[in-house]
Amino acid sequence: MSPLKKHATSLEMTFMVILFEIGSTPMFVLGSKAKQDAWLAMSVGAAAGFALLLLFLWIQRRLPEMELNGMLRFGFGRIAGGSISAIYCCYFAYESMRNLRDFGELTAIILLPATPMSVTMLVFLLIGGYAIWKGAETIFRLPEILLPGLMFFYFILIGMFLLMKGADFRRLMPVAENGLRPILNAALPDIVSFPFGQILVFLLLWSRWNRPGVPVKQTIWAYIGVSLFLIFMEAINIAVLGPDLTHSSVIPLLKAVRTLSGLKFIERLDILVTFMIFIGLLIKMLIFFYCSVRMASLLTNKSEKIWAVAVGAVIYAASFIERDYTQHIAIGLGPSLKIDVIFQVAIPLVLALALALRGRKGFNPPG
Amino acid sequence: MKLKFLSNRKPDFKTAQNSILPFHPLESSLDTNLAEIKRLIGHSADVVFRSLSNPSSDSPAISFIYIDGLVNSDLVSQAVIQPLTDHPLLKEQRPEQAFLLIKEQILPVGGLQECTTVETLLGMLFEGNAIILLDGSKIALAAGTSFWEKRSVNEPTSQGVIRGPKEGFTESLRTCTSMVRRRLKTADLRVEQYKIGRRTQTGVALVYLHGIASEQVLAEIRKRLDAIDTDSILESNYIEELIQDGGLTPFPTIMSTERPDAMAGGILEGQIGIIIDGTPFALLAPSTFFSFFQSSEDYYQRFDISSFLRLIRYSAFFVSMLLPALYIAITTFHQEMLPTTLLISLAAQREGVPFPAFIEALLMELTFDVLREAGVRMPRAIGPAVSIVGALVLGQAAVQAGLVSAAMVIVVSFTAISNFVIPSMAIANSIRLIRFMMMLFAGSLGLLGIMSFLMVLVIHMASLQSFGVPYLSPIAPMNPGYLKDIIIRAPLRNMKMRPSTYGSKEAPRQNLLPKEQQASGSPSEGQGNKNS
Repeated sequence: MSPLKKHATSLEMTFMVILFEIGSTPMFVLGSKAKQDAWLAMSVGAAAGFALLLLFLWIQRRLPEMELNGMLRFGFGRIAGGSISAIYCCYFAYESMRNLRDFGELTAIILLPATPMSVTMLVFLLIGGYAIWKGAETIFRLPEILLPGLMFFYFILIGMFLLMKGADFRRLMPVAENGLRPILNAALPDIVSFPFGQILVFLLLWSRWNRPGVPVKQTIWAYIGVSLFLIFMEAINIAVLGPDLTHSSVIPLLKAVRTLSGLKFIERLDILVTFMIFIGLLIKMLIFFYCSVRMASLLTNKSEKIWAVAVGAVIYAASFIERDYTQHIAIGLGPSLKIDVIFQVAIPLVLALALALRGRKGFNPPG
Repeated sequence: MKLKFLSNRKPDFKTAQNSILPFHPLESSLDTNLAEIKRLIGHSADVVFRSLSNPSSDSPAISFIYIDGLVNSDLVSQAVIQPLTDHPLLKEQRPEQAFLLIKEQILPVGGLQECTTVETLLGMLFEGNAIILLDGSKIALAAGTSFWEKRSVNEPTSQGVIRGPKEGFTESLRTCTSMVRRRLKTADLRVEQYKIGRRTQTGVALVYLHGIASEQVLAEIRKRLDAIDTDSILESNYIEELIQDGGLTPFPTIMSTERPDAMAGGILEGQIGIIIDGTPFALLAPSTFFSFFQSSEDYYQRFDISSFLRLIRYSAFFVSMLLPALYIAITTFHQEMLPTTLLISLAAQREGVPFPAFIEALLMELTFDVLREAGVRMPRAIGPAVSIVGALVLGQAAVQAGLVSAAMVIVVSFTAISNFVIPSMAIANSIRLIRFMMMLFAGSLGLLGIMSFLMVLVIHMASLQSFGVPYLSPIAPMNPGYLKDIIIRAPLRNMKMRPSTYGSKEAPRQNLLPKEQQASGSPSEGQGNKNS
């Protein structure tokens, strides 16, 4: 375990929140059950996620300078807190594994159909492992390099959709055809837990801000900005493809980009989308991987490098458990969502309750 | 700020500069001293011993030692030997008084230093001083008579500009420092001199602006210079490799430059110049990745064209690194990404080629590297022959023979040309190596391989440091205010503050007058006008 170094600048925090939340989200149309209202479902999800974010921020403000591990121990006592931390460690590893598998499957579909998934996933995991080996300071610098490039690509795509009249916003009509119920059904809890609830990981990252306190302002602005962006991307996706096609394709954004065939120079802008998927999934996988490693290293007082190897091996092995893509998706949309609710909502709520009760007893957290 | 130290040093090294010789104080007897010096020097043809001793008179015996070729012989005979032989008073003095008389009155030379040990005496001797030994005195005098053949100041060969000063550094340390001093006429310019190398005793000068260069970085550089214990320093790369931050990396973390104006510009931004005697290539540390893409000419042209050229350079960087790899990846794995007509034309060209694209590219790239190396080494007279071989045989004939495709020749040539666009040879060379790795990854994993390796490079660069300065600053960690001299070059008027990228304090470097006033008064722009 390395002592906590406060190295992340405000900008790094902001960029990290944005990049982490974007992740691979715009590739998929979440809440496609709500048909053309998926973007409304996204908005509802973002709003609910915002409530969760406020909860996490409240917890962090009550216990500044503390990481999730310490918070759980503080809230639930040594043994219970320790065990819950260990479970969280596994949860993060599981999430990392899901992203890894996602990547493996997507690569097999769009990039390298002939290459075995074990190779592509290994390469992907090794990149994550290398970043963790280099330490959190390096990880926090990555968004500053990657996010501008990523946003540039997104703006090219959006510009193309709008200029080449690919996007037809009438496809978003009629708004809320069947009332609010389908929208809410699609949004809760699916969209909340992916991607918005995943901001939970920042309970391990906020404490690295290089100023005293909690980067509340930075996080909230980043969250609002990224939510608007994600909602817009969702709307664009549907506007290009229409609700039915969106619902049926594996990667709607890729399909949408493939409609841009009017360009003579490059037939398809696949390369851009591939790049976006790569960066998005990598940063998600990396952060979950890192959080798992960090939790493990905090629990055992061992160095992060050792745990990076161990956790990496576990993640790699676990990524082969699911038989195929169908099962991967089925688990992702079924049991996984229920687990997410426990880890992203239930436990933090109980923790907050415990903290509130302690606070009434007259406890003043340091700082 | 995290500073990495050189950790794997031997514990027993000494910082004493003359540690290979034992310490010998001078005796009062001239003969003993001369014997000792002769024993240490041996019989070298270029060392001149000359004695003025007249046993019949009671004047002190005097001996001169100098090295032929390192001294100005006219000066030695006129300003050292002649006054001492002619002087009427000298003969009547006792040794101590004679010594004082020589030191303070007789010798018409500028620099005069005292030596009390044989070691310092030899050091002075090898620097071109004429040594004066006086019988009965335990102190020797070293007269500054050094003069040797030097190359005159020429145009820099490796970093040419169209507009801008045309003079480059030379091999002489003093000439180099004077060139910097001439550009920075301020009391804050400090020149700290070191002698490094047990046998070469190479002069190394730290040049920096006091109050602007970061004290922390300065202390670290001094520490690393002091820690050097080596036989020889023959070129600035010796110093560069010995003091650069540890860790295996293909990227240079110290910049080398041949241009005094580039060095002055760097020093004004808080970098520290290291000038090494015997080479025209001086070092600038700390350096960030982006500083390797800035040419001093950027500031001698209008900002719009400079910005455009910078963008061209960054594109050339990516082309030089990625083009062959992209060609391999797309023709091998992702043909569907090409427009159909282009794909058909490429496929037709590759029809007769017996190798996979990766091998084809590898062969061509290696061929070009061989040609390039040959171009550097071969005698000038054979130059045209190599161009013919390169252009005709390896280009057109190879295509016609069906060994490589014409598209591959275009790719390789464009890659090679792009590599020369980058102003710094150091970073251009590191790309040459990275390119081969990139091609390997592209040949095995296609676009995924390229993206993966790019990501590894990004992570690697984000973790690099140059004397505590993050290598990718000011992008990561980002400082939005400093971006106006990174990707583009903003107008000078808009760059009012000196960036603190290199650890210096941020401070205005221009008069912060509003534009109207400045236009009516005398505009004081430019890098030279700094306020510390």
